Amino acid sequence: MQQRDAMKVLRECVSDDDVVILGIGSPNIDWLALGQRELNFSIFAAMGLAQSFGLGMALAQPNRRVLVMEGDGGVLMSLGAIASAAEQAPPNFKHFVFMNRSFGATGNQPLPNAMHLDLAAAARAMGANGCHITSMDELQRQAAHLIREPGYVVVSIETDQGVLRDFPPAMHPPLPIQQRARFLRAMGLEQ
Amino acid sequence: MIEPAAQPTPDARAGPRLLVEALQRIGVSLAAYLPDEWLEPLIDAVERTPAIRGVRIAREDEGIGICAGAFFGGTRAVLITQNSGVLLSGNAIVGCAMLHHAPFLLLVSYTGSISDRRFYQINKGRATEPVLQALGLRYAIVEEPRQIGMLEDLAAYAYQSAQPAVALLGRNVLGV
Repeated sequence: MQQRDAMKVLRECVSDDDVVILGIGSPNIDWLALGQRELNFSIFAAMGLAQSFGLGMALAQPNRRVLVMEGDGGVLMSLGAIASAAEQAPPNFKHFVFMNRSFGATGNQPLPNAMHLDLAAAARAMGANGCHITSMDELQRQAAHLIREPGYVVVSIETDQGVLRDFPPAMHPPLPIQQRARFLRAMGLEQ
Repeated sequence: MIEPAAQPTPDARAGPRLLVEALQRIGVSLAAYLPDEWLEPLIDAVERTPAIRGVRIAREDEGIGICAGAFFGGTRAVLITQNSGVLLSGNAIVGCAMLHHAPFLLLVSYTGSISDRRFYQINKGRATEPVLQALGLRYAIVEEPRQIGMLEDLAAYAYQSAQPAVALLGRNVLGV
């Protein structure tokens, strides 16, 4: 399954009011390529921080759905953060992990013990709900439920390795200062 | 001969409560924290404050992400950690909080500072301020309860500059 195809399925179940937080690397590029949303927030330079950023957001905005989309390398780097999130278990928090089993942004070098990792099982071992999705059929069947049903969940999705390492020249993401202004305005927050 | 460390005065034991009152005046409603011997009374005071939601974390840089995310959700947050957490969180501070202009306070126990007297904290203490300076983070050293008002100045600085700011807390203000 290509990551972008998986994201298209998820995108159809995301409503305009949902916040989508994007981890560094290809999840960021592929999601932004599906079209602009005011409530996207890209984490540009801090690998492994997207889920913690999402937890803070979900606790601050209990009436709004918060989705995090990031790669398996970032999650592997900060596995303990799942325990922190699982203790709070904000029902509006959905954590999607794209498992290409490699460091995509640097040339698809394999993660340590790449082929044996099961991050959904790791999430369950830390007291979170975790499920692993391996096929497009399964994703299409479950996406709406996983996104819309209240409850903190970690969803790992098996994906192919990609080829993009950085934003293509035609697709400039907003600078962080621009993103800040746009996002806070869309949230109706004072700057 | 090295004298034993001075016992905290009754005034110093009031520090944690006064710190929490300052956080409430600042409008903090979320605190991420990881325990430290010096921070125990402060974390205990936070946990007894219903207006502040406590979030236990497994590693300090998680707290940088949580506080930044909370800011973008309209909530003022604080990370409570030993200075070891600042040393660990360098990339999270510059790559998550500073790059994205997310202000919040860090309340940091200043272990290895002169009043510490534990040999194994010495290098941590010596590295702390140069690292903060290198990161470009504004900080204030708060040693005594009468200086706790600095927290409100520091918070104003953080939110006006759209960057985190750090209070380095000595043992007298932490009541330990």
